[in-house]
Amino acid sequence: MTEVIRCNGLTRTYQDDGVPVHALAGVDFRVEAGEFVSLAGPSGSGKSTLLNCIGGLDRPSTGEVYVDGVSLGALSQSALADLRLIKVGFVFQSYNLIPVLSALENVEFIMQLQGVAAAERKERAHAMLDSLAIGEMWDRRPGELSGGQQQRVAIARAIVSKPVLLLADEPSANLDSKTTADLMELLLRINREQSMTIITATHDPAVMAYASRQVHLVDGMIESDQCADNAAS
Amino acid sequence: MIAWRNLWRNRRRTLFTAGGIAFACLLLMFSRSIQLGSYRGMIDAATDLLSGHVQVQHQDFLDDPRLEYRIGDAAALVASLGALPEVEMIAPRAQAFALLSVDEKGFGAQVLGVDPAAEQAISTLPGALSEGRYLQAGNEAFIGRTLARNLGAQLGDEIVILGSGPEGGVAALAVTLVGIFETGQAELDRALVEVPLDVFQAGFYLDDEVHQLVMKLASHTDVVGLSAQLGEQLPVGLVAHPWQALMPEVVQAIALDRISARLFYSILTLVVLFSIVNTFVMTVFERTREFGMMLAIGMHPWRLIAMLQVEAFWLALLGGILGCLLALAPLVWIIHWGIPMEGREEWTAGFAFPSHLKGAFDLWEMLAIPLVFIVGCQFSAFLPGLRVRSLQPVEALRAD
Amino acid sequence: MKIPLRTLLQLSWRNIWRHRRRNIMLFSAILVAVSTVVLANSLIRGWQVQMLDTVVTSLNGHVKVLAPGYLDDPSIERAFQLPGGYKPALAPGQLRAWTSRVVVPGVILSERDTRGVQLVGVDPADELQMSFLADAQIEGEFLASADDRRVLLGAALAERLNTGVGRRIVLMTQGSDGRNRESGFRVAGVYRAATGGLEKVFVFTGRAALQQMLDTQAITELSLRLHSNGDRAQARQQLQQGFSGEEVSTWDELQPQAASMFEFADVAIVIWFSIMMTALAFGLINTLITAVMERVRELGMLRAIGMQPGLVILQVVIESLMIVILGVALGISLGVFFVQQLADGIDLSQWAAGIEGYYMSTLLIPSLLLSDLLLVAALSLLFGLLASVWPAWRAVQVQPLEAMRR
Repeated sequence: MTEVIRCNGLTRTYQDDGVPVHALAGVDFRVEAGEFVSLAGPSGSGKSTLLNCIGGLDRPSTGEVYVDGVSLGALSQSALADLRLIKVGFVFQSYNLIPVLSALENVEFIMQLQGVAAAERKERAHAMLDSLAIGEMWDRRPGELSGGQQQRVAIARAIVSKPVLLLADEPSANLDSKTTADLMELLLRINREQSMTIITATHDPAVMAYASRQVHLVDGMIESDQCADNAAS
Repeated sequence: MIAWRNLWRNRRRTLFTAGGIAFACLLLMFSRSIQLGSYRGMIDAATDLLSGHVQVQHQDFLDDPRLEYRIGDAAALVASLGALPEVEMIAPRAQAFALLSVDEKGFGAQVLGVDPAAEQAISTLPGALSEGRYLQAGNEAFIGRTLARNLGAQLGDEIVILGSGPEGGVAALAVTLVGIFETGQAELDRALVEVPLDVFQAGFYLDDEVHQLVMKLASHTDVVGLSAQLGEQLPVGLVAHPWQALMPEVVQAIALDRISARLFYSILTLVVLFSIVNTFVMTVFERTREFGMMLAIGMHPWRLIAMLQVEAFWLALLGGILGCLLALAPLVWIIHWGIPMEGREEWTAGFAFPSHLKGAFDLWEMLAIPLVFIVGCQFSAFLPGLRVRSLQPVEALRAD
Repeated sequence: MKIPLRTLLQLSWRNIWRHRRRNIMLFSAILVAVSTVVLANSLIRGWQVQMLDTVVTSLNGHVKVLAPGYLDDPSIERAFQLPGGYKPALAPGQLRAWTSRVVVPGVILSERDTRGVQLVGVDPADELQMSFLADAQIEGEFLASADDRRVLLGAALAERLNTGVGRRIVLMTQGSDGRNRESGFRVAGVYRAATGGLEKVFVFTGRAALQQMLDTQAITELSLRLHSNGDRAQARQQLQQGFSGEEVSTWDELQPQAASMFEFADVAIVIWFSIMMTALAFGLINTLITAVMERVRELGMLRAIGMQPGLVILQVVIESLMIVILGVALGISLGVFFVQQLADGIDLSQWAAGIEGYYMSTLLIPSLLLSDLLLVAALSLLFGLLASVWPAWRAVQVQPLEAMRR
C-alpha cells in the first residue's frame, strides 16, 4: 500500500501566557492510502494539533511531516497554500462556508482557484452535490441551509477536487445524533467507494465508531493505535 | 465609566476616530490663528501706514475732500485731544490735490502737509524711505517712487507745486526733493507727496487749519465705540471716523475672507463628523448582540443610548485634547515667530502687510473648535443610537 | 499564478451587498468628501480664471509690446511706430484680439477738482474685444472712433470731479516735445467697471485725438489678447521677431503680484485636497479595518482551504476599491452638479471694495477643469488603494488557524 502520511518525532509547544504547553510531545504516525483514521482523545490531548500539522495549517516545533511524499517543513507559506488547495480537503467543525456564495458556488470555489474550466467545474460540482443528496439545494446560501446540509456542502467542497487526503476536525460538533450518523455513513461511503484517505479528529464516540483505525492521544502522545472491526461494517 | 472602558475595547478604532478629530482640531486651530493674525496684520498695516485708528475731519470732508472743509484752531484741538487718556498719539494733516512740476514735466498728486515729528511716530510711510531722508523742516518734499520717476526728479531737484487756494486763488510753493518712498501700493507711490505742514499752510493760504487729525488709540479693541465717544466731544461741524469708515475695502476684504474660510471650515468639519457617524454606526451594528443582552437583563433602551452619548463625549474630548496638545507647538511658533513674508506678496492680496505673518490667539475662538466637535459627536452618536430603541432583545441576541 | 479575477470580482461584489449598511456609510463619506472637494476646487479655479480675466482686461492683455524704458518712465517719448498695415504674426488660432494704444500719465481738471490719471488713446472698436470696457455699463455714449475727440470717464472719477456726460473737462499732459499741453474735451460717456479702482485711473479718448494733442504719430503699446493663456510664452517669442528695439512682455511679467497670486491658487487647490483627503482617510481606514477584522475568520478559512495570501489581499482590495470607485465617481458627479447649480455665479457685490485686492470681480463663477477632475479621481483612488491594502495585509498576517479560532 502507498503511504500517504508519515510523521516522525513531532512535537509542538505553544506559549500560553508565558507558560509552555506541550500539545504534541513526540508523535510518530503513518497513514496508508485508503485508511479511515480517527484521532481521539480528550480536549487538549493534541488531536487537533496533529491534524493541523498534517494539513499544513500548523508547523511542528520539531519533527517532520510528509504528505504524499512531500516534506512540509521545507515549504513556504505560499507552497503550503497550494498543497492545501490540491492535495488536502478540509472539513471544519463549524462548516466554514463562504457566506456570500451559494452551495454550488462554494463547491466550485476550490476548482476556480485551481483554474478548472467553467463548464467542467459546474458539472462536477452539480454531480458532487447530487451524490451527497443535496443537489436540490444548489442555489441556496449557507444561511438558508441546516447544519447537516451545510456540513455536506463543506464535504462536497473538500472532496470535489479529488484530494489525496480528507481532514475533518470535529465534524459532528454542531450536529444532532441522527445527522451525525448520516454524515458518517457518507464519509464511510466516500472512503470505500473512492478509496479516499480520511482522518478525523473527534471526541465523539459515534464518530470514532465508523473509523477503520482508531488512534488515541493523551497529553500529546499516542496512547493506543488499533485497527478496529468497525461497528458499522 | 462603562463608556470609557468600551472605548478602549476597540483601541484602534478609538484612536483613529480621535486622531481624525485631533487632526481637524489641529488644522482648524492653526489656520484660524493665521487667519486672525493676518486680519490683525492687515488692519495694523493699513492703519499704521496713513489712516490711523481714528481721524477727526470736517463732517463733509470724507465724502468730498475739498480744501475748504477744514478744521480750525488745530493746535488747540491737537493739544486737548492728545491729552485724552484713550489717545496714544495724534498728528495733524492738511491735504489738497495739486499739480507737481519739475522743469517741463508735470503730474497731478495728492499733497499732504504733515508735522514731520508727529508723522514719523504715527505713520509707517516715513519708514518706507528708499532714497534720501524724511522731512525735517522748511521747503522740503517727500514723494513716491513712481511719481519721482514720472517727473524725472532726482534728490535735490526743485519741485513746483501748483494748486488752488480756498478762495480759488492760485496756491504755489517751491520745495526741494529730499526723500523718495516706496510702499508697493501703486496709488501712493504714484500720486502722493508730503511737505511740512507750515509750508503747506503758507502756500495754500491756511491759518491754523488742517483737514485731518490722525489718532492712534491706546487700545484697538473697540475703535468704533471710542471713535463715537470722541465724536461727542468735538466742536460742531467736526466728526470722528474710525478706520472702518476710512478704509471700507479692508473691512470688506476681511469679511469676504471670513465667509470663504467659514465655508471651507464647515466642509472639513462635515467630512470629519461624517466619519464619526460612520464609526458609531459600526459600533452599534457590531455590538447589537451585546446590546440585546443588556436589554434582556432589563436595561432601559434610553440608558443604552445615554451610554453611547457618553462614549461619544469621551471620544470627542480625547480627540479635542489631543488636537489642542498637537496644536500647541505650531501655534506657539506662528504666534511668536510667524512666517516671513518677503517674496510672498501673493498672500497679502495687494494690501499693505508686515514682514512676518503672525498668528493671533483668542481663547474663545480656539476653544470653540473642539467644542464644535464635542457637540457634533453627540449628534453623530445620537442618530445611530436611535436604532437601539427599536432593538428587540431576542433578535439582537441572535444577530450575527 | 493564474488570477481567477472573475471569482474575486464576484466574491467582492457579493460581500459588498452583504455589508451594505456599512458600505453605504463608507460610500457616503467618500461621496461627501469628493463632491465638496470638487466644489471647493471649482471655486478656487473660478477665482483663478477671474483673476486672469481681470488682469488681462485691465489693459494688460496677455502679451504687450512696449518701448524700452516705458515702464520706468511712461511718457510719450518712450513710444514707437508700427509699420503700415501691421498685423501681429502668431500661430493660427492663437490671437483673439489686438490693439495699439497711447497711454500716458496726465491730469484731468474740472471746474471742481483736479486728479492725476492715465490718459488712454484707443481704437474703440478694438477695445470692445480687448478690455473690461466690453462688460462695463456705460452712461451716455461710447467713443465712436479713434478720431473721437471726446473722453470716456470712470464713474468714480466723474463723481469726484463733479462732472458728467456732455460736460467739458480739461486734460493736461506732456507732449512729444516735452512741453506740457492742455486741451479741453467733452465727456462722451461715463463707464462703471466691476471694481472702482479702474474707474479712478483710466480716462479714454480716441487714439488719433490723443496723438494729435501730443503731436505724435507714435503709440506707446501694442496689446494682444490670446484665446489661451498657455500660448502666451510662444506668442511673445513670435512677436519679438517682428520688433527689434521694443520689449515684449507677458501679463505675468507686467503684474508679478497678480502672477504669484495666480500660482498660489494652484497651490491652494493641492493643499485643500490633501487636507480633505487626510480627514477622510481617518474615517476610511477606520471603516476598512473594521470591515476586514470582522472577517478575519472568513479570510482565515479561505486560506485554510488553500487560497494564496496574495489572492486574499487582492480580493479585499478589490472589494474596497469597488466602493471607493463608486464613491469617487458619484462624488465627482455630485460635485459637478453642485457647480452647475452655481453656474450663474455667486454674487460678491456686498464686498465690492474688498475684492479688488484679490483681483476678483463681483460675480464669482465656479470653473471646472477636466484635468482637475482627473487629478481628484486619480488621487482619491490612490488614497483608497493605500487605505485598503493596509488592513488587508494586516488581516493576512494572522495565521489561518488563529484566525479561525476567533
